[in-house]
Amino acid sequence: MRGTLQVDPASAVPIWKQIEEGVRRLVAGGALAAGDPVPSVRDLARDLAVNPATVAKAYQQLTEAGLLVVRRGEGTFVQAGPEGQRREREALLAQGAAAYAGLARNLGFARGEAESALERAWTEEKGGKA
Amino acid sequence: MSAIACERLTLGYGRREVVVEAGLEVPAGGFLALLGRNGAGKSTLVRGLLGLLPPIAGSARILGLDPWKDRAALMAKVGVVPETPDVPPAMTLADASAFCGRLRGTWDAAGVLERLDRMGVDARKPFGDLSRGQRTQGALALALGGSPEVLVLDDPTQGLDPVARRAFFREVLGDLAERGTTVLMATHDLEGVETLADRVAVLHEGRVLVQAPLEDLKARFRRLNAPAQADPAAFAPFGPVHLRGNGLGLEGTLAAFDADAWARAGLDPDWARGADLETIFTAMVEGGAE
Amino acid sequence: MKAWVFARRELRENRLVWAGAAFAAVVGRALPWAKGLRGENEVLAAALALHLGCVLAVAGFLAFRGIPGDLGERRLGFDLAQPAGLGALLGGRLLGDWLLAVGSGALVLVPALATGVLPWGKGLGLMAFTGALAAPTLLAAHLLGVAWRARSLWILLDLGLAGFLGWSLDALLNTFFQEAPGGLEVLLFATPPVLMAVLLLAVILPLAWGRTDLARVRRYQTLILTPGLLLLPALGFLLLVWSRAGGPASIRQPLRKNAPAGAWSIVVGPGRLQRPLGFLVNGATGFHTEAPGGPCAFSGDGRHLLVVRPAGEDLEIVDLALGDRILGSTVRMRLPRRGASLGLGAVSQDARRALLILGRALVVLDLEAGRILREDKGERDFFLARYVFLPDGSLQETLPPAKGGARILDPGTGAWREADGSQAPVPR
Repeated sequence: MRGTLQVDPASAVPIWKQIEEGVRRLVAGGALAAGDPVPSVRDLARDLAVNPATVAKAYQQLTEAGLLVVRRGEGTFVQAGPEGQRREREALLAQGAAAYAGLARNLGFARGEAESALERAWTEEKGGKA
Repeated sequence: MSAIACERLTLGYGRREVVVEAGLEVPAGGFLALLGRNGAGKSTLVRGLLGLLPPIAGSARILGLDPWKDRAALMAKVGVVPETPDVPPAMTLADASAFCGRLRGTWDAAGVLERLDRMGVDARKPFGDLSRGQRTQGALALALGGSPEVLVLDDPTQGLDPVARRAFFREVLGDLAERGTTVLMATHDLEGVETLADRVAVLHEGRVLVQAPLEDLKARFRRLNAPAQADPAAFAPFGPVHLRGNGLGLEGTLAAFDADAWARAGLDPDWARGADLETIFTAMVEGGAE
Repeated sequence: MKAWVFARRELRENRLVWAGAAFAAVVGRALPWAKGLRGENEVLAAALALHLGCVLAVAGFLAFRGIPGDLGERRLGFDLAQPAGLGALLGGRLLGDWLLAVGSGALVLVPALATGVLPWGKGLGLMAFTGALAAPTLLAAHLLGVAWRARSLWILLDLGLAGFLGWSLDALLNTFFQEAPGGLEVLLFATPPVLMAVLLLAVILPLAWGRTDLARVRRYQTLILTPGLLLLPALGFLLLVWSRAGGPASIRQPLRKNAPAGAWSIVVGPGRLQRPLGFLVNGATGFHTEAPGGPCAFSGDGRHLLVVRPAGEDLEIVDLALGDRILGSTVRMRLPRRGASLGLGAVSQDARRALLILGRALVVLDLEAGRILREDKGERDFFLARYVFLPDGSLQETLPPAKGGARILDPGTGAWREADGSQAPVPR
């Protein structure tokens, strides 16, 4: 999980939020499944070279959201089951869609044009892969 | 209770006031990066907080103690990494550790040696023969040997090579994570503290320009990159600093960004990107942004 | 105790000083032998000089190297980051430096003590003396170090003050000797502690106040030194005024040297520093005149006073028999170099020959010809009582009981010959 989590200090998004989203992405992508352990606050802080309090804050948010669970004496684990995973994936998709819609609007395209562009990209992607 | 607090603290030499009415507050477990240009008064402020300089006015409290009056008591709970580590040159770090241990109630001599080993510093070499980076790392190991509640670092990574600098930050970080030490670090190493500090204080010409959680500053500041046809006047409400055209477009820093107002004004969110600490710092001390 | 922790570190950090002292001790023992000066006095003098030099050098070195640089936390930072008070810190380091200075001085004395050249009692006294001297030396060197580092013009004022202190003390002492009042002991006794206190204040007070700004520290030092150094002369002059106004006139017992026979004596005031100031006094008539300066001795019969002029080469012979109209006759000749330490002497009845015991040498002078008739150097001491000038001007020596008999120095040839017994000496 470590290599796939990255922090961009220059980003406008707070670091704890970046970590939170990173973990959410990993859950959505299936890299982390229910029951998997996540690194301790201390280890992750060391690896990302960020303040442990920042990692702790991200973990706290994730725990409150029900994605992680702290088991006393054992560590922190992923709690989200298939249901939670699906929710994360949907949330991620919604996020991407919102970004695309925003871009299209800013570039001055109509909704129909945007949709057809999406359609085209979808088939090209599939065709490319096939 | 705040671990470090000072109010209207004025410090100086003779009649010359170097730090004027500084106010700082670091909660227990916090990490404050004290930023400022050369000569801004960072080292003087650190001296004042360590009880090496009497306050001309105002007060300072570290862990509830007055550093000038109770320096000896305070130093039992504070670890210091000075700008120029000055362990007696003939002493080895092992000797220095034994020496510190004799003066303190709690001392983790094995921990000091282990830490030195981890950083690759020879504990049996006279301090005067160590390289600059090793001296700093040795000073850090000694500062952490007494399990301090507060760690004060005065520009420790100055002149360190990238490897030594990284190792240094890892050690500080490890201690932070293990024991929740409160840290005050005066530094020029903006990149290094960017992800470590949770609070930032900027000292400029002896005065504290700003003291705020880093997250708040990051929320307020944006790096502006707009196309040339954008109207500069549109950015006026967002506190533009160093706004200038570069042929391809407008660039600069926004010191009072507000996402909602930005959206209401119909401006492209892509034009305002996150600002790193260096951008924020430069905008503050050069552009007068507050 | 925290001060002791700092003292220990100082001792450990400067442990090479011991090696240096041990080396100096060996060299000090070997030096007189290498130079052919094998008398016990030379060995002793070498040991004493080495001891004094070692203590002062180590104290000065440590003060310049260790303590003065500590001003400003650039050098003191490590110590100031320790949970120890300033008193423990400075006191401990000073104690360590002092122990090093005194200890290395003692080490240098070891060969002289072990071989019996220096008796233990005197050795311990000497160590106590240099030990007391080492502390102000440390502090003064510290001050000088600060002054030097600060590169401030205040140093001129400080040096001027120190010079004034020395001059005024000397002037005071001289006046006191002539006036001979009491209170001198008080002044002499009070000077070192007051000086120590002033130096300590000048060192520690600025440190406690504002450690970081050297120029400011300097100013405080001068501000403390000025009244401090002026305090001592002021005290002295007050004492002088008081004694002149009829203070306690306890007359000091002056040093008195009586002629073996006759009423003459030399009275010397207590310990004049620069010029020996003494009076030649005739106890019978009350006549007195200023005594000639320089080491002097009455001749064995009390008729003559032998004086070596400070230059060390002129011998003046004062004929006391002339009574109150004293005439001196000066013989110019190259005395052996030990001339300045004139011990005892005798003059023949016709005043044509003189005998001097100079250190461990016996010198017989022909005053008429102005030359040295004979010079004997000996491993043993010469005793004046063994020598007597016979009426014909020859010198007779009574040999030690082990040998028995006597021998006579021929005034013409300057050679010793066996006495034939017919010229028995007059026992004195």
